[in-house]
Amino acid sequence: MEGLLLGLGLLVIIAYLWYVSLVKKRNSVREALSGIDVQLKKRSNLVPNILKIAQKFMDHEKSLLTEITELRAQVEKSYDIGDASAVKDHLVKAELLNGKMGQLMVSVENYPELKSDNTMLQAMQTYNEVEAHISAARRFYNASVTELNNAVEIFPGSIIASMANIKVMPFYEADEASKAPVDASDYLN
Amino acid sequence: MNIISFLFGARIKPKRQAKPLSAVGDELESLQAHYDEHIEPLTRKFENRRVACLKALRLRIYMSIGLFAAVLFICLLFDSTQRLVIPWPFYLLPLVPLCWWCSRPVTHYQSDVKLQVFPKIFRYFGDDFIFSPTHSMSMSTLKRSKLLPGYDKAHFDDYVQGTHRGIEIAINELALTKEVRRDKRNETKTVFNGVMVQLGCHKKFNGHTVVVRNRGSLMNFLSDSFKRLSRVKLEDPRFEKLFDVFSSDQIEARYLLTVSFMERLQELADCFSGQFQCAFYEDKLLIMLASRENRFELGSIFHGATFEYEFSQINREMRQLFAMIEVLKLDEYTGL
Repeated sequence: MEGLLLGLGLLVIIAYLWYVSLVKKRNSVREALSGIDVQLKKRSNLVPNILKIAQKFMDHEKSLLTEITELRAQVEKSYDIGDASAVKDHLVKAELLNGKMGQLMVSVENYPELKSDNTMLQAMQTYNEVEAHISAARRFYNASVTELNNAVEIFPGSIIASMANIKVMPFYEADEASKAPVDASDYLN
Repeated sequence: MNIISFLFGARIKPKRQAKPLSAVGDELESLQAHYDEHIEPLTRKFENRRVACLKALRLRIYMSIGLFAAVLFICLLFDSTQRLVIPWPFYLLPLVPLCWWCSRPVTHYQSDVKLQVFPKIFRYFGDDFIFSPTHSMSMSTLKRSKLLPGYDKAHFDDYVQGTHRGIEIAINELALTKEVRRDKRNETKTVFNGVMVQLGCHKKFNGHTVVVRNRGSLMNFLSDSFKRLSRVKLEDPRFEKLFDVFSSDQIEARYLLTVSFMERLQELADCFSGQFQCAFYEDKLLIMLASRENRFELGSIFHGATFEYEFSQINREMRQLFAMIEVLKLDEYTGL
């Protein structure tokens, strides 16, 4: 009887420690996600300035500029950090905005006046810096998500996670456009 | 001439030819031009100094041998008549001041070369390059890097400062020692011997990130060397096998240690056989290279004072250190 009680006690302690580790991992993911949001906020603050300068020169890219403005507004909307699908949706939009901004930066190449504009150059440099920080934040987030997901999906963590309502979180993935292979001949012709 | 022939009275005469300059690739021409313009004019003066120094050294050695023999004879005589039973280490005591006295001319000559010739050699790398055997990095700044192991005494040696490819560089030789108790005796143990290289960085950062040799999970768990820094797990398994990274800012650590930068750090670690650790803090990158090699040193006193060997050697050592800037691409604004 005593042995059984001792075994049960041990089991409870192990389960509790497992639970603690799962909660720590979930909080680490949340911390990483807030790190991404800080960087996304920095980018959001930068976008209007870039658009303002770009509007003066880029008459033919009106639709792209509008798309960027809309996406920026969507990315800035608040979301539930505990809801995996809301997080995924938020990250997808952030990545879409990233893709569109990338397109804008490429388009700048077609406008020599804009390209040589000092304010634009400075804004682009700052933007690149923020992008580097977003990329770093993304690596931290994905590393934390890998740890959490492994813990949540592997037995017996899966049982404790389902009891504690701790769920797998989505990765911050690159958008489809940037995953597509680049054909150099398109640019070299 | 070598030490044996020197002691047995070989003739000391000025030498005007030594090992010629050597450099890799087409650098020899510029090396020669700098040598002819700045260093060669000093060689005649220093060769005369070297000859005088060797003559003084030999004279002092002969006098010391005579003095020592006399003291030894008197002590033995006194000991045998008075039966004092003096322990034998006491007989060797007079050797200490005599050795110091004998080495004085050589140390004076060497320090004069370092003060007058070496700064001119270092000017080859840029007009803003300075060399000083007495100047040193701030110990408190080095301590703040959290890279230094526990130590009791720090001894700085040669210091070099300048700019290479727009990057500020400061190099300082450093030896750290610690008193340890072994077999009921106090011993001085060297805990670090090598070079500290401080480099400017184009990337701005506020946090503190250290990259140290892999110490194993148990050591990381038990050690408190990196208080207030948390472990950063990076994606590259080869890098993770070589190094442990700790940082006050997880995102900033990844901003600094991009995938390509990790590759470059591994390249450097391969070059310096793994004896490589670094810290990003206070807008600088501090690299700690452990090495037994004593850098920026003068060749043998028995060689002519042409300084061609020293110039070639310093150039080789500096190129090795500059290569770090090139390998790490600190001079480029690539964002990688």
